[in-house]
Amino acid sequence: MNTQGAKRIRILVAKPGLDIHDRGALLLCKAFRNAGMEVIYTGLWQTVEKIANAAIEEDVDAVAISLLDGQPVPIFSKIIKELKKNGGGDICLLGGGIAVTDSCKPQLEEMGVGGLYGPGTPLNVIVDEITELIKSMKN
Amino acid sequence: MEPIIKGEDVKVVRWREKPKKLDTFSDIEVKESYGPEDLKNTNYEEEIGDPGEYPFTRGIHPNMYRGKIWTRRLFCGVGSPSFTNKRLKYQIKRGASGIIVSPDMPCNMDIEPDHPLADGFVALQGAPIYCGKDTDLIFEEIDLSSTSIAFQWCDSSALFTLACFIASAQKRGYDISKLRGSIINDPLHQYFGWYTGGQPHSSPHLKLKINTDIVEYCAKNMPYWHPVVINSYDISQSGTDVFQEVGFGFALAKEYIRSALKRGVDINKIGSRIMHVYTSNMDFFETIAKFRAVRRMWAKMMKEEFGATDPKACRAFITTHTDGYSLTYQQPANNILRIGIETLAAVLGGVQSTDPCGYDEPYCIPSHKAALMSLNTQNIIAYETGVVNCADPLGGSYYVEHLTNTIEDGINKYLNKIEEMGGIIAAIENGWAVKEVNESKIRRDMEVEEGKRLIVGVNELVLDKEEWVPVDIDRDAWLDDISGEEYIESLQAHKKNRDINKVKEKLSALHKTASTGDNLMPATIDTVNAGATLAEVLGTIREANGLHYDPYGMVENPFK
Repeated sequence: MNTQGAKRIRILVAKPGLDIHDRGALLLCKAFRNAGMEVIYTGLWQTVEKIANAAIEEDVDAVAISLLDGQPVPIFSKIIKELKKNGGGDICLLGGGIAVTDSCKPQLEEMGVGGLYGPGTPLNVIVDEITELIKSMKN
Repeated sequence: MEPIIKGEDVKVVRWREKPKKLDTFSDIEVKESYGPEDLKNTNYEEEIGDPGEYPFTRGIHPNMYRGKIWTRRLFCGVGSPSFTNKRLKYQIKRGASGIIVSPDMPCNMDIEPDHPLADGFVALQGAPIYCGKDTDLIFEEIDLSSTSIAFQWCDSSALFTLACFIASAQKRGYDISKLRGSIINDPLHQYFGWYTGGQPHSSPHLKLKINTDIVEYCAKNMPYWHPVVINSYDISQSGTDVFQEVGFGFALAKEYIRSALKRGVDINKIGSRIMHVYTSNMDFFETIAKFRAVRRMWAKMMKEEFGATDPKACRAFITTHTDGYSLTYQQPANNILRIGIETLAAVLGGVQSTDPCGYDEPYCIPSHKAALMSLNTQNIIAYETGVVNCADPLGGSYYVEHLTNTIEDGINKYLNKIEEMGGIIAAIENGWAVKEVNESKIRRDMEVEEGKRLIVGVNELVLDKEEWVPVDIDRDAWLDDISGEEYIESLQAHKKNRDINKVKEKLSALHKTASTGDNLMPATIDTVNAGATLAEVLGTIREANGLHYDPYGMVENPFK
């Protein structure tokens, strides 16, 4: 997947708040790594401030938020606000998991969340789409 | 439907198809068939025994479900306490014979709705219980003398929740010595079983102390109550195999029992009060054999290791939840069948209660219709299949007995490894337990990804959405009605309207008790009656033990 010389994609996988179901996030980390990306995982119990800070400090191309539980719209809007406030407005935001439902997708898209992947999305689809999305954002 | 092209034969590719996988879920090798040879070292009286007889392999009662059909329950807890109350009544009217109250995430993590981590998680995945008023509302108009109540509180918040429940019951005039039910109260499994790492400002020793206080209090005051439910279910949901699921469970149980015995609690009083929750998964026979192996191991452990003299104290009371991880987003109607098979396996394994998932769990916590389906599933098995007629109908099957033996051996090996390490607290503190569970977390998914395990609709017989059998999934419609905001406002109002001096007085009394090491339950009930809230109570206990007020170190004591 990874082409020689091209800068590898750096991605932060994050679990916000009290959402502790982390099997999906860990699986994504593995899939992103297998696809040649540099992956940083926040671990559990992260405030939105911590996630935004980590994204900026680690200079990532994208932040992938995994949510089984919790309310995606307020969580994403707070992360976007934090990123913008701290000069990370150009970082691509991605969301996935059971909590990312069809009904909240339009609102999240409008807020600027780049890729949204509900349950049942095959891993290769997620990886391919994200790779394209980040490439197109970089150009 | 695809058009049939004239003149072209449709080839039946699955004709004479052979199964792809011939070992069990936990990779136990299975032979073509089993016979008397495979059981030649198994003595019936010593290893199996009649139903209701030591070592209880075949069940804890001689007549099993003829005497009492297993308790049919269902996960419940969402929205405000009043909403949860409505939902509980709905379930009872539609065939539940017991109830479950599940906590929202902040409750389960020992923190309150105003905590920085709780934002967006209040009253969503369970019911909020942050003050005594909440249990008053949750159980309003529900007869507590005829209802067995299972509280899903795992961590130290179990102390506060049980105190709230006791306070509510006493206010309504109930004699608490007659109440029946259980509370998970398995705080140590939280360090590795489900999520990893534990809270940053916590001590497994304080968690164990609080666990023992609940065991001791119940042994004295609530003899029909189960003060601990070993939460192997959560461990299984991290992708572990049967040896890890039960091995960790027994290691946890040993720690809690040793601590209670040191306190002077009689093993004959708690041996069967410490109960178990395991998963019932799609491996039908492994699930059945697991429950049988657990009962035999528990009986032997009680008698041989802990010296129980009353055979009744050697009985393992088992409850089960079906395997959430076996359910698929694709073709959700298939989940109804999966849940049915898993529930049947639990019943054939001789459990005391079942709690099937909702078929829509890959989408949301069970909707009303999914809840109804899960209740019907339990009652169809109870009323229509005849499985209640005879205790342990699979006992004596060469395969099932052999599998029971194999599973017992494997669990013992795993358990001994933990014991040799110095027990579960040592295995937590040296990082081994977390590492073991973490390594399992993506194993199952990788097996599906690589096609080693076939899941209909996921990696085999995949269909376009248009072809799926339609089934009602109404996540958004019903979750839209739920709002954490409403609850947060009512909690704020409660804090404003209580007698703050009385709260402070009772909290300082609790602080004193917590510093002496005495049992915390009576003083906790006093704080609940004064209107204190969850984080105030647990924070006070934590501070008295030299820990930060907040388990995450993010919130300060509001009274200082």
